[in-house]
Amino acid sequence: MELSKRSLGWLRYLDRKAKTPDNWNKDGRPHPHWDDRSDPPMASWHRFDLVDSSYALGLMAHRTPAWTEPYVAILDELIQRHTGWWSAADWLTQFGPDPDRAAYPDAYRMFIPEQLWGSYDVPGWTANGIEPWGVQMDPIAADGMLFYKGFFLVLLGIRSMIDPDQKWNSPFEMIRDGANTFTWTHTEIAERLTEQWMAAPIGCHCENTKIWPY
Amino acid sequence: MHHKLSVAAAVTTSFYAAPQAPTDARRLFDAACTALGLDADPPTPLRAGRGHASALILAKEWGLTELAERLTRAIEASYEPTWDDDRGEFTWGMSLDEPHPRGQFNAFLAAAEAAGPGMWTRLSEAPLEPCPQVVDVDFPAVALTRAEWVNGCLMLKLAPLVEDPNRTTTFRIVDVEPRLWYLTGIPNATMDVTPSCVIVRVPLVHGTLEFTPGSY
Repeated sequence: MELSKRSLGWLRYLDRKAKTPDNWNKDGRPHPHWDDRSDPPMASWHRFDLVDSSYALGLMAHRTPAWTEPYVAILDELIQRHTGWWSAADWLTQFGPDPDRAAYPDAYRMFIPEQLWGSYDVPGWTANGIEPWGVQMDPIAADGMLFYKGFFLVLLGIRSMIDPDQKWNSPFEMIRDGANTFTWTHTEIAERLTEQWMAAPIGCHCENTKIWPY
Repeated sequence: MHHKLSVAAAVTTSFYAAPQAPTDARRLFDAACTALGLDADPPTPLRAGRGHASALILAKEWGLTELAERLTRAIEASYEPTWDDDRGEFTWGMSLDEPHPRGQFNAFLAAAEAAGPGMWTRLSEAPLEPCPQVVDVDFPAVALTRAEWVNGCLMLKLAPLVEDPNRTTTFRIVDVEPRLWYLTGIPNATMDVTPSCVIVRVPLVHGTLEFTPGSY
């Protein structure tokens, strides 16, 4: 198998994008080439660009299995960003019910049961802090935020499928905001999610109170 | 409370379900494609999004040739494939007129470009088979569009961004047996076999290298 000319061209683009320095800590800001605009209100967060970009890398690695170096290097850049505060910016800023519930655009009607329009948080509003769960600042340990830890596991998993070096099974810090600094490994995140699935076979919350069928 | 959405949304669900529950994923996918009007050529231009690209990944995954061709035509007509010739970079502008290619949508299109029969499933099914690796390639100035071991021979296809037969590039092949090796395919390519690796020097030209074991 081979990489197509277009695949190589996109790989070169993603390599430059991923290796352009920026700062995903709370006092920084992701470079504007990371996509926080697509498919609001659920996916319009920078982390989705990181995770979605990994799919092509995994597929390309299967096309050049004796040259995985460029994919792993880019995946490490994506994963490192996913440990930063900005990767969980929704969870770390959207506390309680959405104050804009009554002012949602009509386009959100498809996401909200008709009888609850105006008194219901749109999917994408993470509602950290609502009862009975209370404020949970670690997006991995939290009861909700499945779509954070699940997609992060996809990203980590794709890397582990093409490089067996276990790099991300050494403890690494996430969020890194003073007291809100949390240490995890790839395996520990998977174990945490497994615990949650075992405790709630119907599924885990993405946004608090919302369970999705995938 | 359960909130129902159009079955068209299952084009995303089926993408993630395909490697784990292919039968159910296929049923969801077929229903989603019908809801999206993909039983015939869809009207173009397509709205910027990820759905048609993820559908193309699964059409290639499952060998649905007609659907893949239909989607490819619509995507080509709608999503503004764009080359930056100086950098050798390829992206999709998606007719959004934005300063940066839209990352999430480009990501799905790039995955569709790299997809093929069974590949999305294989990616999550098992780790890549370990094999001696090519390392220290001067990427992105130099790339390998083929790099695989076939019957004990390493097949490499060199793709420099700018060709210059008077200059060379260097890379290493690690974890190979310290034995006699032959390097053929590109004139003036040379190698040094060391106890830990093989160092290859090759002119900056497009071409295929074959790295073949000799006798001990």
